[in-house]
Amino acid sequence: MANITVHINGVAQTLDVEPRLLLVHLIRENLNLTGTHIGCDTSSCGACTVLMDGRSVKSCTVYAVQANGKEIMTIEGLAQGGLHPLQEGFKEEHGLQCGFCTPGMIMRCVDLLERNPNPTEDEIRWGISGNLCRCTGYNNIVKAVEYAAKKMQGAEVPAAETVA
Amino acid sequence: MSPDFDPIEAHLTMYMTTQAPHAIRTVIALVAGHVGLSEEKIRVIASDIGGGFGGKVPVYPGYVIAIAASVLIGKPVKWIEDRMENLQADSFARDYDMTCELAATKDGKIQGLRIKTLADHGYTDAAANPSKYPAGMFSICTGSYDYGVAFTEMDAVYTNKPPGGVAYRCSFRVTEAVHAIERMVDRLALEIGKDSAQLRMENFIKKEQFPYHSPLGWEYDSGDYGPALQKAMDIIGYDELRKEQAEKRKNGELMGIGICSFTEVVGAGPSKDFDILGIKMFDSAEIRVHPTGKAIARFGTKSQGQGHETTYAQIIAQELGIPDEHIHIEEGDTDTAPYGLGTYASRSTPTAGAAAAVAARKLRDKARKIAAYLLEVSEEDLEWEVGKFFVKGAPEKSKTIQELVFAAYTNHPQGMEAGFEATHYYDPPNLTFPFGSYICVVDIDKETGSIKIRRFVAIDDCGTIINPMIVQGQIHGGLTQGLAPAMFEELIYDEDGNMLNGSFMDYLVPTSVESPKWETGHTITPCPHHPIGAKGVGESPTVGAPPAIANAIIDALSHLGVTHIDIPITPLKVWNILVEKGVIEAV
Repeated sequence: MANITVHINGVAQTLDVEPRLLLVHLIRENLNLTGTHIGCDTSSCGACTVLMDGRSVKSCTVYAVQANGKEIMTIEGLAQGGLHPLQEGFKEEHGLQCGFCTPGMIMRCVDLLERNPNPTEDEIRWGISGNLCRCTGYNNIVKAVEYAAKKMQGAEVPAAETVA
Repeated sequence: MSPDFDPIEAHLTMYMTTQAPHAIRTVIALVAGHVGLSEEKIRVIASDIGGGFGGKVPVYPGYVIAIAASVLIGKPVKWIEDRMENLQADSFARDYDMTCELAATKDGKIQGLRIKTLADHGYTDAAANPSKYPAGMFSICTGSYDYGVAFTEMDAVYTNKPPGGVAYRCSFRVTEAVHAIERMVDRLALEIGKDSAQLRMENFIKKEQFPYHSPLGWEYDSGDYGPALQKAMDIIGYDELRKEQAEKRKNGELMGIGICSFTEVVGAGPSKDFDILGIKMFDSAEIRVHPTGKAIARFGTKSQGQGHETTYAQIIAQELGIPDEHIHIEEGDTDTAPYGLGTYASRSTPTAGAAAAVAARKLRDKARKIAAYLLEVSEEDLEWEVGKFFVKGAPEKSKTIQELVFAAYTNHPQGMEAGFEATHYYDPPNLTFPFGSYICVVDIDKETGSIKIRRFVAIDDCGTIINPMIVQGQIHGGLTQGLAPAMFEELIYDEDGNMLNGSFMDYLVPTSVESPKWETGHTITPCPHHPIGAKGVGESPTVGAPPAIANAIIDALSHLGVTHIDIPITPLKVWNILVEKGVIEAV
């Protein structure tokens, strides 16, 4: 067993873990934060995406011991006194249906907008191409990210357009 | 799924990801009632279950084993299927080998259709099919066109694959049927040298022919096919695209335009024809309005992200005048929800949505009686406007729905049943027939065979639209799921039956990069027999997209003598064709 300290959503947690334990299992099973999902076994789908020191990682491809001393943020830690602009964008623009991919998709987009605050549609599509969604066809996820980008730059964001 | 058997109470609680909680409970009780799993002692709870798309309808062996284990040890048991197991051992859909013949006059008037199908159903049939229709709704294969004769037969074969025949986001094999007819219409256009849009326009069932009796026995409820195709052509600029294509061909560039004008058949279904394991395919709604005018409504269906919480609340709000934010929607708990067969085959709005409207109307009738009593007028003297009854000619004399509900608990007429609650089990008189026209434009890179979808315009007609944003979201998602089998997704086996692509590393689910920016629009032709005219929409795009994409790719290659390519149409298939036709040389 390895003794690690992980700062998860701002709270330091010290645990004994097996060296082979994956970060996603630490998050879901040891810490009971089940907003982070497991959608495949091959790092293909991105449902398990979380932030590690501010950068998005697929937590099924990271060992828990690699997170020792790091800041981990999951979907549960994102809302601070109201929804994060991305969460708001997904809600306003109908960016989710079943919701399974949504936590990973949003955590990926936090990093995307951090690196590129004003992305083009093409940059958003490439930016989320490591995260699979089976429900939305991606149109409205792109719009949700555009909504958040505007909001995070302080622009007034109109309510979602009425669909003709 | 997680069965939790309590040996003291002999009670089984099952938390599970099912699209049909009531049906699952009944199946367990029918199979294992005699060993103590009696129906009143079984509770199925399906909460947020993730996308279903048909795969979460059947009963899987893992369920049975987990239940048996929990009963034997008297403790909760959890059965988890990982993604590889899901791809390799879960049930699969499609895999139909269809041989189609279309008869037509030389100028393109369709006369008849014959389809022979060999259907792979794996080692056991996983389809939860209507009993009377072993091939599901496949006989919608005559499509959107008017002709008198059709014949279809199907042989289903058992193989050593996983259970087959699941209707993946498709109302019991409509996807396969529409692919057959829409490919054949394009094949006919190519054969006689007629524009495929014009050929469709000339053969469409006309608006005044509805209700239309199709040669294979369906009664299409309503339709107006020409305007939907015309709208798609106008938006995409069809005539200009054909000109551009002609120019490009002169320069040796490959560009294709594909159309699909589908007719769907959903909303199963009328009890005279439709049952699963003998249970009739009605569905239900129960509305209970509390004294302060706030409501809870429960349904026999089960949302997987289709937004029932929004859509059902809107239906009730519209019928009863209670704001939708005051209506709580609940599904998925067999102890509390009224009985229904669940959500799949685009049936929720046509069945449970209709039940919501009828139940709300029963309550409105009761509200009218209470209003007459309180206002001291006869019921005939009252007029309804959403949210209140008022006296004809004296609109200042009125009672809001909230006042009438409160009175149902505090001051109801003597002799009237107290409370404000209604349930309805809706048995639809017919299926519903949504339709649409899709146009796809592709550009093909000659050197690599790679296919780029330049534009895709989808015009859908699902009758009355309850929530435009939800309908559009359903269409976006369904189009991407239609893109998937057209160009990417396929379960590949070697000669010995080993699956070669049993993970998401090589089973290619489209990402945001492969998916084009979908352009959507609609026409509205209400359903004549549904209480609010709605037809259902979830599966139309999955049905309509594959032939539009296949037709576009084949159109791009048709001048080389290509008449058909089986889906999925991959760059390698296209590249091999280009080599074979001498367009490029293999290096």
